[in-house]
Amino acid sequence: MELILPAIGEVMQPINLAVMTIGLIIGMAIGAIPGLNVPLAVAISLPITFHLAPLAGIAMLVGIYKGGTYGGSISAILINVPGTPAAGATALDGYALTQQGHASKALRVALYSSFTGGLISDLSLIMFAIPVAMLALKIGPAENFALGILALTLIGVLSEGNMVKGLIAGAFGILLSTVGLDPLNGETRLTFGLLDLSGGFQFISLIIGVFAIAEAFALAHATAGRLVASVGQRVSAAGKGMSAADWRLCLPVMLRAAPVGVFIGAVPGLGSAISAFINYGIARNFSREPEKFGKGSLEGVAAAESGNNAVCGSTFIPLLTLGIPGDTITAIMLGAFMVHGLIPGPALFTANADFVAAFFVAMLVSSILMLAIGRLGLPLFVQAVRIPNKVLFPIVVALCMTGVYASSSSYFDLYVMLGFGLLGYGMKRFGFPVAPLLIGFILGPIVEVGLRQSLIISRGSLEIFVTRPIALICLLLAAMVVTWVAIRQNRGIKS
Amino acid sequence: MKRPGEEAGLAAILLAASLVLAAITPFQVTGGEIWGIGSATLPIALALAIALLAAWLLVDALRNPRPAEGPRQRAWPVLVMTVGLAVYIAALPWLGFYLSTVLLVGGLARLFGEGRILIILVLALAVPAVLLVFFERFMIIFLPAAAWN
Repeated sequence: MELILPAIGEVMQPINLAVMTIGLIIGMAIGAIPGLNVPLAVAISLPITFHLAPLAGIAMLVGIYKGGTYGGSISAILINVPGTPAAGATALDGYALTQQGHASKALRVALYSSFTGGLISDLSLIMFAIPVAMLALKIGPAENFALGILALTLIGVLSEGNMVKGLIAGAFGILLSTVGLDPLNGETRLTFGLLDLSGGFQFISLIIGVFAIAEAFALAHATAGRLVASVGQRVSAAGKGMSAADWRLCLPVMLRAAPVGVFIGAVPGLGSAISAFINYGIARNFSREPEKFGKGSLEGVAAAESGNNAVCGSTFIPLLTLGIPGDTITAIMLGAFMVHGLIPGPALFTANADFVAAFFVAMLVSSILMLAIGRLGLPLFVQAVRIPNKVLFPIVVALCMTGVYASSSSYFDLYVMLGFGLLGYGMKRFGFPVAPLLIGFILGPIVEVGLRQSLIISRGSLEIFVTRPIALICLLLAAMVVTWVAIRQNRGIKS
Repeated sequence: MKRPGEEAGLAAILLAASLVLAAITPFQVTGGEIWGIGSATLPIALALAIALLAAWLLVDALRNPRPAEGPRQRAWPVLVMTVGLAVYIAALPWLGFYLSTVLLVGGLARLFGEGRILIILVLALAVPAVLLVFFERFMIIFLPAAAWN
């Protein structure tokens, strides 16, 4: 406590609040633009922070990180363009809500869920950094495989009512993730001699394709049949704010998603997209209205946003406690810490205790500022839905093309995005769910690498999955989920 | 808007494609196996799983043919848009970002039903300019230049 009070005074200095606000606004703008990801924004802003005091510089980068993670949801909800990979899960229900006239409500749920997830993650960083880091260190290949299998069972959950098509979509997603270099031996597979395919398919091309480009195809099709409204979506009066019933529905989902996100964030190599999709699947499994998922469920938006923002604070756990950056952003942040003479690791808590306290306070303050800025910006963001589709969609397609090109400077990725756009359009037309495809694509490499590394470690023995407690628990849970889904599916068929 | 037989046709295509993929994957993969699992194991297993599920879908579609859900719609706008986007990507290295995107935005606005020439012109000229300035000036990410530059 003797460190916290001076830290609050330090963080509340106008310069620190100003750079955090600037960072949040930059982050939200970058996060909302497809192809411009948060690591890029943090990397570009890094040299600016060299001219600032250590706390101000780090606080600005934290602002960009948090703002960017939230910002992806704005474009996902309003125009079906997930600005970040994690926002793909938000688009599944967010855009459907916009089409129903509930854009404002969806944006509010996304904002409050992002705030809740972020706040719980910050508090976990402050209070449980050491035990969470120790638990995260126990996650090896066998645990990664078992966690991946547990998460893959969500494909079954998300396919209920349409099981065969959902399973095909999930298997196809994993298959797509195997294209390119083998993650273990570096050999090429399924590249058909194309050098451009050796890096595999980029996730950004996949999500922009199956959401935004597929939507543009559907719009073109509807225009020909004169089924499209000549003006933009309207914001219904009932869809403006969150009612008490909405809070009762969404708050438990936010609170349940946040701890899962905190854990995923603390494990190096996982990240916010995995957290968002896993929490989306969990929320559907526990929902009283699972049939609404994918068609405009507030719970779906709440789970995805709380889950992906809950990663923000906990990704700093392995960095601050052990000096291990868990993802690209924390790797860049490690550089920022070191430039300012701060060496992350156990010694940081003794040698620079005052800075660590100020950093913790800055994390909390940036969450509160994000809530304030997001709330002030809501009336502005929601105006996007008033633009007629015939004006909005040419802009959206141009933005997607530019964003995907900017992310890799590759013309090939643009063709890939176009192909995924046709795939998404076809899936929609023939009733294949998109969520299993995306979950399969994200989790495929984790499961495959986990399995193969485990077998190498155990010299080919499958015992490794039952002798390691965390792996065993995850596999048992996966078996329980599969049984549960099968029973529910069977009941559904009978009824 | 499925037509009777469309779903069965799709399932048959999926079944054939996944079987072909399972058959050619060993020739598309280099590298050996370690402890029974190699680079080709997962892709082949997945292709076979998709084939099995597609067969299930095919049988279901043949047993329970579903009626059309609405009037048949013309597919030409999707085809026009696909060809247009492919031409746009191919034109980027030649015409450059600005000129290509002017044509793309103008064409799409017309395809999506915008009939007012002034609106199309403003959109086509302003959107690429804003994107160009934002990406090149603010983000320092260079977009394709025209071949003559």
